[in-house]
Amino acid sequence: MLFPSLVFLFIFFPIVLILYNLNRSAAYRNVILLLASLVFYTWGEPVYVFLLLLLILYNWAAGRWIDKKNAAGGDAGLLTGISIAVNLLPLVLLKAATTAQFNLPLLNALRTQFPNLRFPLGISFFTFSAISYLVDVNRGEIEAETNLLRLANYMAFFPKLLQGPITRFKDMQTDLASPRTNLDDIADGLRRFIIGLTKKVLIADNLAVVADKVFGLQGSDMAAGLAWYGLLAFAVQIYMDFSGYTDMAIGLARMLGFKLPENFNFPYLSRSIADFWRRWHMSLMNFFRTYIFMPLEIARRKLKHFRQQSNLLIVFLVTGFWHGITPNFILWGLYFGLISVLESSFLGRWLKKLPVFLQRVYALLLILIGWVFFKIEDVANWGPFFKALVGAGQPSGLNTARTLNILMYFPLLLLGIIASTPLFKEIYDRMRKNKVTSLVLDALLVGVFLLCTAVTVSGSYQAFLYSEF
Amino acid sequence: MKKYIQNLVFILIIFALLISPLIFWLSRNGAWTEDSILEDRKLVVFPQVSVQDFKIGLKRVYQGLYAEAGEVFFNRFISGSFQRTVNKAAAEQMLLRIPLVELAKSFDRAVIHSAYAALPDEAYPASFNSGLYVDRRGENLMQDLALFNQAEKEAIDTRIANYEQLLAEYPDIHFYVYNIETLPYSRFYPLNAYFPQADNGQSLDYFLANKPENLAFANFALNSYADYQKRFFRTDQHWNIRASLDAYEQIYALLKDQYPDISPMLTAEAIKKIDGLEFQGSMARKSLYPVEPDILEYANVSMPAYDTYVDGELSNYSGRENYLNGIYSREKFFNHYRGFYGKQQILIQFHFNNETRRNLLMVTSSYSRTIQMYLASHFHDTYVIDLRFEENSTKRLQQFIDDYDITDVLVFGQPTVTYYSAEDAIKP
Repeated sequence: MLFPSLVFLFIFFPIVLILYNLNRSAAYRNVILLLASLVFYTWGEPVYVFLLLLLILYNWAAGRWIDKKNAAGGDAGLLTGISIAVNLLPLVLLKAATTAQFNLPLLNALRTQFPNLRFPLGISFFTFSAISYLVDVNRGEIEAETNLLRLANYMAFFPKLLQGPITRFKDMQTDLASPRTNLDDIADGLRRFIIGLTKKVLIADNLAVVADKVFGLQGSDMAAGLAWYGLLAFAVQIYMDFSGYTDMAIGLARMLGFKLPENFNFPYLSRSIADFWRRWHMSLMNFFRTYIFMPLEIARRKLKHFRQQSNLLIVFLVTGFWHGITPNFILWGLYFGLISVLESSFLGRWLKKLPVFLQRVYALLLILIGWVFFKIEDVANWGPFFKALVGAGQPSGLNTARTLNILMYFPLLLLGIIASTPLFKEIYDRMRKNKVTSLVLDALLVGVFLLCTAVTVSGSYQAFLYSEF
Repeated sequence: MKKYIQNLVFILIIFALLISPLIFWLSRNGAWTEDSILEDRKLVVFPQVSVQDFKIGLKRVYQGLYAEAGEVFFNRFISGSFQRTVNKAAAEQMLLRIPLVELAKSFDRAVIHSAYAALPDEAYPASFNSGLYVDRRGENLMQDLALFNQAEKEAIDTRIANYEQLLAEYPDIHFYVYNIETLPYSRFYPLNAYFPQADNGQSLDYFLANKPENLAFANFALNSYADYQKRFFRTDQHWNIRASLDAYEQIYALLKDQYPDISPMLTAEAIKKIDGLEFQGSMARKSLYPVEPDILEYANVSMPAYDTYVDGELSNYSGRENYLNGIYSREKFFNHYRGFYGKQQILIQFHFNNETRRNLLMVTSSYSRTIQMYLASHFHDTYVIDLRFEENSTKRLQQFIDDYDITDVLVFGQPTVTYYSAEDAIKP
C-alpha cells in the first residue's frame, strides 16, 4: 500500500487514526500499530509478510542472546555477525534472484521453482533496521528489547516500512514505550503529510512522464535542450518523489506520536559531493557511516590496513549495490566514491577557495551527471546521452518537447526547481508565524489536499474516442 | 484565532475529507455505480469477500488441502488481484468522482496554459493525458496529428496491394473508395510545422500516386482549417450533417460512373437542429475541456420506405424518431451522435423494395452513419460492415458475395478505413 493511494488515504489511514486514538495506553497503541503495519505490508506483500514476521521473531531472540552473552562477559561478536548474515541472506538472495543478469545455478533454481518471484517491498529498510538494532545491542548502546511488540513495531512501523527513513532503535525507544500525541502533533503531522503528498502527486509523478520519455529515446537523436529538460526533470522528480515520501512518513509518524529523522536537506544546494551525501538520503548515509565506515576507520587505526579513501570507496560501492546490483548502479556508486576520495584528498580544499556559487555549480553538475548513470540502465546508452547533453548529438528534429508532448510539464519543472531550494520553506515558516497568513496557509493545504485527491482519482478516468470497440 | 482552535479546525476539516468516502461507501451498502455514461464503460466495483468462503478456506488449510484452500479464498489475495480491484474501485466509486476529475483537468489546463502562454503554437494539449489538442481560441478540440514515415508508407503499400488483388480476383465486382480527409491527416492541422513527420497531406498524396489506376476513388477534401471547423463537430471527431450531405453527392457521382442506371440522387429538403440539445462529443468527454457544445443538425430527406436489420433482426436502428419527438438523454456528455444515428453494429442491412438487382457491401466506420441509408436507397440490399469487428475482419470477400449476392463494394471512411491499415482491409 502506498501513501498516495486512495485505499491508504481514505480507508486505511482514517481507520487507523480512529482506532489509535480510542485509547491512550502504550500497550493498546502498540497492538494497534503492529496490526496496522502488518495489514499495510500484507496489502502489497501478502507472502513476504511472513518473512517480515520471521525476521522480527529472529531479531527479538538474537538481540536477547547477544545481550545475555555480553552480560555474561562473553564476546557476542560472532553471534552478532551470524545474525547480521541471517538478516542479509534473504535481501541478497532475493535481490540477486530478481536481477536477470545473474545466472548462478542456485538463482536459476529459485527462479524455476518460483516463477513469480519478485523483490519484496521495503526489505532493505527493515533489514537495515534489524542490523542497526543488533549492532547497537552488541555495542552496548542499547539493551535488547524484551517486549516483542515494541521490537516488532520498530521493524515494521508502517510509516517508514517501505522507504524509510532508516532509524535506530534508540531513536524510537522512548516513543515506543509511550507513544503520546497531542493536537499540535496531529495538525503538524497532517500538514507535513500534505506537503509530501503534493510533492509526489503534483510534481514528481508528472515530471516522471518527461524523464521517462526523454530517457526512453535511448540515443543521441535529441537537441541539448531536450536532453537537459529530461535530465532536470529526472533530478527534480527523484528528489520530489523521495523527499515527498519522506515528508509523508515523518508526518504520519508524528500523528502517531513518533519523531522520525529528517532524510533530506536541500541536497541540490550542496557545495561538494561530500556535502551532497550529508544532505541526500541522510538516514541511509548515517547508517553506512555508523555501521560500515566507522568500523572500517577504527580498523584502519588499529590495523593500518585501510586508508580513509579506500573506506570511502567501499561505502559508496555498497551504496551503489544497495540501489541495485546492475552495472549502472554499481558504477554510479563508484563514481561518487571516486569523487569523494578526490575531495577528501585535495579537491575539497581547492573547492573551499572558490566562491560559494561556483562550489554549488560544481556539485550540481556532478550530481546531474550521476543521475544519468542512475537513470540509464544500459551503460552503452550513456555516451549518446552525454553527447546530446553537450550539443554533440544528431538531432533529426523528430524528437522535441512538442513531438514528445512534454512541453506542457515545463511549469511543473520550474515549480519543482524552486521547491528544491529553501524558498518555499522560508515562506511557509514565515507565514506560520503570523495568525492570518497561517490560516491562509491551512486553507491552501486543504485545497492542495483536495487537488492531490482529484489528480489521483482522475487517473481512473478513461473515456475513449472509439469506445464501441 | 488561537493556535489550539486553528489546529483543531484544520484537523477536523482534513479528517472530514478523509472519512467522507468511507462513510459514503458504507452507506451505499453494495449499491455501486456500475455504469459511467461519461466514459461509456462499466466501472469497477468493490469485490465482495465471503466469510463463508474464508471459513471453507481455513478448513481446507486445516485439512492440508492447500491448493483447494487457495482456490476457494486465498489465491486472489496472494496474487494481488483482490487488492488491485479494491484500488481501482476506490477510484471509480469515489465520492464526487467526476467533479474531482474535472478539478484535476482544470489543474492540467492551468499548467498547460502557463506552459504555452508565451509560445506561438496555434493549438496545445487539452489535458495531460487525453492525447487531444485544443486550438488557441479554445473553440475546437482535435485529435493528435497523424504521422507519415516509412512505417506508414509500408502500411499504405500493403493496402494498395490489397486493392490490386481485390480488383484482379473479383473483376465482376464494382469497387469504389471514398476517403474522408480528417484534420489529423490534412495540411491544415495547426501543429504540422512542429512535427517533421506530420502527415500534412502526404499519405493521401502517396496513396493517390500509387493506387491502382482502375480503382474508383474520390476524396472529401479539407480546404482550410476554417473548412474543418465548418464541417466537423467542435467536440467530437465526426463530421456534421452538412459535410455528410456534400459527401453523399460526391459518392453518388462516384457510383454513377459504374452504375449508370442508378436511381436519382436524393435531396435534402431542409436541415434542422434538435432544439435545446447541446452535444458534448467524444473529445469533450475524453478531455473534459470546456469547449462550447455542438448543435446536432439533421436533414429532412424524402426517401423510399425501407427496412433495417441489425445482425439479421428487423430493427429500429436509428434513434432519429425518438430525438424528433424529444425523447433523448439529457445527460451532459451523452453520445448523441450514436444516439441519433445509431450504434455501430457488426452487420446492418438496409432493404429497399426497388427494381434494381444490385447489392452493396459498405465497408466503413461510424462516419457513414449519417448518410448510409441515403446511399443504400440506390441498391436493393445494402450491407454495412465495420472491419474492426472480429466477426467481419476474419471473413473473405467471397463469403460476403456468396452470402449476400454482392455486386458493389464501397470502402468509405477516414484514412484508416480507406487506405491505411491492411488489418482493417477486406480480405480477398
